[in-house]
Amino acid sequence: MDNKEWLLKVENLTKIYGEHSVNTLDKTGPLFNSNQCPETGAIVACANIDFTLHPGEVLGIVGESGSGKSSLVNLLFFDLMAPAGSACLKGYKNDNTNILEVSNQQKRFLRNHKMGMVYQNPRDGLNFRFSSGGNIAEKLLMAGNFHVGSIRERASYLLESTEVPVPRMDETPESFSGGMQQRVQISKAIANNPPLLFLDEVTTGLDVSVQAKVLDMIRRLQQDLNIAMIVVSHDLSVIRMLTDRTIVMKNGRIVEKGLTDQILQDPQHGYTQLLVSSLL
Amino acid sequence: MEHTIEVKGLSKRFTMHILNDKVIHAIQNLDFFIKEGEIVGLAGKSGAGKSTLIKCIYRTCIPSKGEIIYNSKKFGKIDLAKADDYEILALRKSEMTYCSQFLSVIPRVTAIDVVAVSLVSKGESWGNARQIAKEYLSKLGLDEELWDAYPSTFSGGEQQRINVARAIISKPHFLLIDEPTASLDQKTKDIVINMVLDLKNQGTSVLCITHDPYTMEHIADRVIELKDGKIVEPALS
Repeated sequence: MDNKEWLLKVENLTKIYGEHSVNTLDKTGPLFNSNQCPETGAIVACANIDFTLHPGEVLGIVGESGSGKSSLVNLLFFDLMAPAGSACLKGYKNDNTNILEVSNQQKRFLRNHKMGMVYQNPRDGLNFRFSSGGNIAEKLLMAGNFHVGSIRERASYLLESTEVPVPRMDETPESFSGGMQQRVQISKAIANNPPLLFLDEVTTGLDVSVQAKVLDMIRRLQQDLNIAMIVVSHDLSVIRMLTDRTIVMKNGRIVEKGLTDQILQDPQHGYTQLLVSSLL
Repeated sequence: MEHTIEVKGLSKRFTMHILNDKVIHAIQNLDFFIKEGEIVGLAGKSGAGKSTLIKCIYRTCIPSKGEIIYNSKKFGKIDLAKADDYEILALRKSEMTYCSQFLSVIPRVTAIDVVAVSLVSKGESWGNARQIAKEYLSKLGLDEELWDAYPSTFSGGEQQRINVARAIISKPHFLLIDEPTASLDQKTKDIVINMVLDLKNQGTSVLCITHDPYTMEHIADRVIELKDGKIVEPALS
């Protein structure tokens, strides 16, 4: 069957904070219900994470806080450094280059051309001293687009498609509501048409009507532009709505992966069963 | 004639780790087949394992034992019990659909778009897909005023019609339906039955759960009855 297309291949991704011993990985994890090494006190954020993402696919990552789900996307977006393991991006160099080990200049190139990131807190993804349009322009400039007219045009197009009132594009995000800030952040993240977008708890803290609006927008962007996405959320309803496949994490490990409807209706791992049975 | 699906020794048990590893045997050692263009009805009391069986085939549930050999139009023979997630997703997108008992509503998506998206994911343009979706909803008698409304506030019967339209609009090669006529009036029931028969005549194979004797009589070429997770052998007549 022809399903071997891939966009991102992650193998053995591991990130440990602090001094670790040879036993650190063996003595942490869901079995011990801890990600702290009993010998050295090191914290295991992610251990031996393996997965493949296909072009245009939406992959969910669920887990409790501290399970390593945010660390995982932060590592892939180079917000966190020095992990072990590898990640390869299709279309970058010869497809086999470990992007975690390239130079900082190359990492910037990847961030500006191949990826986008939407953080839970709009302040992490936006510069609040710049106007909303300016924030989008910044991303476009980094991606090598220097024509002011076309930048403004693209910015208004993006704001329009994320339902941010275009006449307000010269205001700073400070004067926007939380939901609007989030939509500006998404506009910025997709400004350079990245094939890969990371979304970290993007609707957490928004009220339900705004949440539905943001989720609906993400779904549309995915359908229309065929962007592959990794959606991190502790909210199973968000995962159900957006994703085809889901990874469940606990204590820095993947405890289960599968089709999203299977994870929700026939969870295999005890932790996933607890998670699903706790759903309101 | 070719079998669209052939189930061999299929069992599913649920192990509930959060209840001291309590085990529930939902279906046990099932053997049956569905021919191409055949509609097989699935009967039995609630709790007999009907929905679990359908979910195992659709792979919402992971079978514990056995084989589900599906004869794909596009990819040839595949064991759905062991196929990887991508193979399942590809089949769901192109030729196998599931009409569940309940509509899981996506917020802020209109009735038309809920139905049209099944075609869009197969490569149809939004314009065409919406046009065809309108035809289906109108055939199913869904009030035109509701087409651009959000289904979360619809009645049970209205949601059911959307659910049916969504599953059959893409003319699947294999259709799984769970209680398609449960909350429908007689007239709409007949329309749904005829739509499924229409698909059958175009070669679709169907596995259909229903408690409604009328639907069963008019839709099924053959009935399989489940009791306590096992197939009840028909009495010799």
